Amino acid sequence: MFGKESTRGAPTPLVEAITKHRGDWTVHNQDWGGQTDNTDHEIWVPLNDDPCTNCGKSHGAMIRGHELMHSKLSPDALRPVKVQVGDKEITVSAANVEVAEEYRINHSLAQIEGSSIVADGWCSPAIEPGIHGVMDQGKYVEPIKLAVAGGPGADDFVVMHLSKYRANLTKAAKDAVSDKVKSQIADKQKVTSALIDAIPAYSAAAARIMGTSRGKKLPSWGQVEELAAFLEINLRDFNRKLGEMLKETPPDLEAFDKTLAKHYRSTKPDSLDPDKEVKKDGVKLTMGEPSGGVEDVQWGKPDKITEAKLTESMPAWKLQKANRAVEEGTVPRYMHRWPTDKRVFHRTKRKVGGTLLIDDSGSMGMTGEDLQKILEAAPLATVAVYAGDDGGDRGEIRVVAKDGKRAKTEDLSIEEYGGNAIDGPALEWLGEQSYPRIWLTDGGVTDLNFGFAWQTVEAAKKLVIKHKVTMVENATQAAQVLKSGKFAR
Amino acid sequence: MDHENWSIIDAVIATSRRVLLNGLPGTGKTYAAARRNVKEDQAVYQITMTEETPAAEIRGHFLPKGDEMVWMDGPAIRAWREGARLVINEIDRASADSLSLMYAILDDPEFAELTLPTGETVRPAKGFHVVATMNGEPYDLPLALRDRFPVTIEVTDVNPEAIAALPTDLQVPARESALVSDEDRRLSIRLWMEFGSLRSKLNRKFSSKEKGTVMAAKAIFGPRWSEALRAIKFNEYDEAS
Repeated sequence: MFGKESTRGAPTPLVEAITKHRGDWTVHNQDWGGQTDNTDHEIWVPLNDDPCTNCGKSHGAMIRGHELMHSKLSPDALRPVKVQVGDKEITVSAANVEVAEEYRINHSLAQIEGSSIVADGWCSPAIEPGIHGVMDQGKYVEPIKLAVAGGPGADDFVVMHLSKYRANLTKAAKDAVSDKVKSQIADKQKVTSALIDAIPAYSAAAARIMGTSRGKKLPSWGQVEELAAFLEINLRDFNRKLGEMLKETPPDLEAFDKTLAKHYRSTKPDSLDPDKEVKKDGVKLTMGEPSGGVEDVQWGKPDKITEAKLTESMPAWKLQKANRAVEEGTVPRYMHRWPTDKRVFHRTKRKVGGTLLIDDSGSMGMTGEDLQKILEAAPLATVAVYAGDDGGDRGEIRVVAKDGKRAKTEDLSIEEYGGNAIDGPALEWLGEQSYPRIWLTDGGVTDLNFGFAWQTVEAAKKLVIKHKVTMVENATQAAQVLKSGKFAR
Repeated sequence: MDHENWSIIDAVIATSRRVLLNGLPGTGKTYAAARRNVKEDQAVYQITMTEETPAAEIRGHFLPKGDEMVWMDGPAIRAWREGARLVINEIDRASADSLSLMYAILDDPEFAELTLPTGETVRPAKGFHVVATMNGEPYDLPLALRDRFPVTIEVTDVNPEAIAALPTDLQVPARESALVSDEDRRLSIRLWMEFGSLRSKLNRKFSSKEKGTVMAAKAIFGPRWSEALRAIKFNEYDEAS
């Protein structure tokens, strides 16, 4: 039910008697939820106190009170604001201003009518899927915003539903078969726990900023700005910490050493003896001057960053988003599965992308079959090969696959160059591409100063750490990394 | 609050000989028409027009008294004779019969005169003036009648005297809800007056402020009682600066 209708015999709010926005108002009946338009003087609220069909509670009085409070306190529109914090002026987004204003509204309602009126608005069966939904979608700061916007006491309510979500994850982890899914679930569990720990602090901060009941004075707009600024700073920080927490898989440097050991019979870079004959791909490498440090490494400069003609398309069905049947969702699409695994809901699975950089020096490089293997695992991956002029300072980085299209097999190898020399710049290029960043190499990196030496290996390691690169030795390993979802980030 | 509206009304009632007040019901028009600027010892005669009010009721008529018929002045003629105030409520509802008489009663005092069925010719005495009220628009009136009210004021605010007579906590909600243009949602000043009075009595009766207030609200505002009480409560609070 929605729209303007007779309000006779209904608990119609006396908005004109409360609002600071003087003039005629139109009151609309809306069975669920409320809305206030302080510009056009319209208000949408339930004009009844009927029990909710989901939870049995009556939400009407709370929603009317909440919307009336908006008409009493809120400005015409909520816009981004500039707030002075210490000696800095920060711009607070309209979204955070809205969260802060929602808190003030519910705080004020609780101040006037008691905290139980605010709790009357929380409908568990309606809100729980929303909380679980944003968690599924990776919108992790939303539960914090909800806990604040919901007003005094909403933190307990949100934490309760997050705890349920975490319990569901524990159950799902037991049923998960692939390592990738297990890893994703573990990530969600970590985030959920972090949220459960953080939410009470946000709620306490909101209460502190809005202050305790001071006679018959309701919180001012200045307090809204203060809370909004607090959210702007702290949610950004929280988001960053979450990002770090989820991306804390460091590059596996041991793989570098193992690769070197395999190819160069040396387990540690500093044991690379300049007097010892070192061969790469059966070719004797010139060891550079041993004196000097990592800072003296001088990489060659790629004179070409090119894109081969990407003429071969992946089959369309491989590029489309995959659908899968799951147990939870909103619209059942696979009712035929009910009698068996009950996975009647539909969820879209995102196709994997990422970037693969391939050392094309000497016998390294890639065959058409290798590339196909990689694109099967990650159809949207960007794949590039690189090679440098051994002993010279030039080289080329060539993109051979991108956005579901690939080059012909004859274009996969850079014929002009056969050495390394530009490993450093190639890794820098990889650092600008999307995750996962995979480097297919034997670890034998060279520069203009030292050639192949511990200094160049260390310099390359620094770039691997800096850009969170996952090293692999061959296309099969690369495909495995892409499929498993376990990579440095 | 639109103070100017009532300042003008105050200034013109009794100063102008013919004043028409129109506007929303429950704003205190009738109260003002009957009470404002009445001189000491000046009589006020009130009539309320309906579609069936005959001219005879306004002008006067013969009444049997024993064996004879005696003439009885109607309120309009009495007001003329005494130089009193004549208040005509719901003037827009006047019947065709009474309208014609109304034209004569409301004529300019310099020319106004009426010969009664008794043969007596009467004229308005000094001090006679008219205050008429209506809820609709003045354009609804016949041109001849409208023309007899050079001073027509739309009442856009609630009579401050009526508001001032209310308990303090009821004043803002009463004033604002009485001016709501949506008839379904309007709560007239009369309801608030009654609520104020009943609340006070029931609070004393039950020795419980809350119980008496809720009972009075339920009795007066029906299904809107909780929102009426909410309006009172919300108005006790202000946004901190």
